[in-house]
Parts: sequence; C-alpha cells; structure tokens
Amino acid sequence: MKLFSIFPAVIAAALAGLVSVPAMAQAPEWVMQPDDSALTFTAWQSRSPIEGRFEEFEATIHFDPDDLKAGRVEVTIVMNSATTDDDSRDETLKSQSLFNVESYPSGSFIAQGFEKGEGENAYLAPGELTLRGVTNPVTLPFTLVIEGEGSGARAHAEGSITIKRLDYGVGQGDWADTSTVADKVDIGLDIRAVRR
Amino acid sequence: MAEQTAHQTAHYDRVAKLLHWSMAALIIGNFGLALYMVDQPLVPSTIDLYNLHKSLGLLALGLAIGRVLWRLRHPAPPIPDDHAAWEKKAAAASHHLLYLLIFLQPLSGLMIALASQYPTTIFGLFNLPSPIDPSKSLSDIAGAIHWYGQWAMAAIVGLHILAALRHHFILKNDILKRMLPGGKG
Repeated sequence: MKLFSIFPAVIAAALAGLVSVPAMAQAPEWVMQPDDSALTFTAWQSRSPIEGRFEEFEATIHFDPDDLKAGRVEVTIVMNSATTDDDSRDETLKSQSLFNVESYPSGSFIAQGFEKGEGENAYLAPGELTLRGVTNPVTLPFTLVIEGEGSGARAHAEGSITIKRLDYGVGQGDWADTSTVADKVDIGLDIRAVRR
Repeated sequence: MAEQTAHQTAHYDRVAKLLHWSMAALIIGNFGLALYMVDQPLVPSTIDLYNLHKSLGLLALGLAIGRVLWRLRHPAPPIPDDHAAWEKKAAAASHHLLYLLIFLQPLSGLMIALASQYPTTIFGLFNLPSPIDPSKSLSDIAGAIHWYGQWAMAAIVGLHILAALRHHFILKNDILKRMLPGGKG
C-alpha cells in the first residue's frame, strides 16, 4: 500500500468531517485489512469475462448496523494498480483511451449513510462513483456480516454492481466501440475490516 | 501402357488439389494478416483481426488433418523417373517439412490462444473453450515456436514455389501442372 498517496484524501475527508458535520454522531470506524480485501472488475470481451483487480485501494468505513444513516464509506482507488494479468492489455487499459491514469490517477466511491437492503445482512450504499474524472450516482448493494462486538470485532462486506464504462468516458476513440468489448463492466468489492 | 506413363505425368486428384490450393491461400493470407496485425495498436478492431487470424488458423488445422487423411488413402502421383535422385529426396524432405509445419503452426497458435488471457472467438460464431488455465510461460513458449515456425514456413514455402517454377519454366516439365486445376486426375 502506498500510504503517502492516500494521506491527502484521508486528511481532506477528516477535515470535511470536522467542518461540515461537526454535530453528527460518527458511526464506529472499521479499518480495512488490505491483504484480505479485494476490489475486482470484470470486463466482457466477445461475451467472455476478462477478470481484473485493483491491487491498491483504500477504504475508510464508518458503519453502525443500528444507525445506518450515520455510516459513511469512502473507497479510493489507485487506477495505476489495475491489472488483468496481461502486460500489453494492462498498458492499454491505463492509456489515454481507457483509464488515462496519467490525468486521472485515482477513482473513488463515496457513500454517505447506508440503507437496509432486502434480505438478511443486506444493505445498500447509495453514493457516487468517480472514474476518469466523471462522477455518477450509483447504489452499491452489499452484504455485511459482523463477528464479535466492540473494538476488535470483525466485519466482512461483499458487494457488486454493474456499470457502463462509457458513462465514465472509459473508451475514447476506437474504444467507444462496444461490439468486441462490452459497455458493461462488473465491479466487485470484498472487504474485511476490524473495528477500531 | 508402361511406355505411355513415362510421357504422361499423372495429376493429383481434385480433392488433393482443392486441399493444396485452399491451404496455400490460407497460409499466405494468414501470414500477411499476422504481419499486419502485430503492428496495430491494441484497439477493438485489432482484437477482431487477431480473432480472424485464429479462426483461419483453426480452419488450416482442419484442412491439414483432412489433407493427411486424404493422402493416406490417395497416394501422390510418383515423381517421373527422369528426375535425379537428389531431386526426389529434396522434394520428399521439403514436402515432409511442409506437412510438419502445417500442423506445427496452427497447433502452436492454438496453444497461445488457449494459454492466453483473451477469449478466442471463431469467425464471430462461438468462443473456443479452453481446457487449461491461462499461463504466461506456456503462451510464451508456444509464441516462440509460432514465431520461429512462421519463418520456417516462409522459407520452405518460398523454396516450394521456386522449385515449382523451376520445373515449369526452366526444366519445362509437367510437375507444376500436376497440381494446377483443370488437368486430369
């Protein structure tokens, strides 16, 4: 993990929290365990899945199952850490036509407040996804299981959404074509965290 | 009867000719396509070109199998006796090499495709299932074989063409005509 690269985001988030919502009760913080967490994506080429993942990302999580509105999650993605286990494809993925990591080094998902979803342990995170400088509202459905209580309790959250890459400008020029590589991309989030 | 065959060179049969010339077109076309596609930027249309190359390669493998099966039941017409022993040996050697390469090239290409991280779409109709997990080392090895194989193929095909033209224009015999369409089988 490149700790320094996420400092500004963390500080900004902390400052934003102090300045804008000083009176709001903060839900307990959960510390993501990077080695046990994964942020994956599945693109579709000729109806076959192309599996990829972001090897570097950070999640700041505040969650209280009894006070969902007080929760907050902020995921910061290091776009240059994307890999599909193929060097030439990864290089293309990071190039100007797709992720354009030079101009847009990070992506993010920010949700303020959670909602209960349908089913046991099911929740919704209505938030905003930013990729390649474009922000769109998305709602991430996820399940969350908590083991233990208080500090040191363990949480496991799993969620997935399907987005359209062109909604975020991921696919300029020749890559705007969706007949070979589909517009839809599945994103999967699997996070394990420990309560602070 | 015996005297007659000394003058009239027997042709290859129609099926052998069809297999030969369709394979010739596939080899030359797919070689040209390969040289072009590897220099293109990785964009969707280039992926389509790679899939076309793989599709034609699989077709070539099918033709190669068909060709061997046909040849086993329908032997090639013998080389006329007015050819030197070295010519017969050289012809046999280069033909055997060609047979080896028409299997080696599609098979090594297929191995690259199966070991790669990319799906292989055959003529846009269906995706080739892969029985193996993606493997960079395996696709690299297959890639090296495919790369050397293509230049071996280019060399042997070049020799094959030059030899055929030598027979036709310099030696002025019927060796090339045996494989040209239209003649009697």
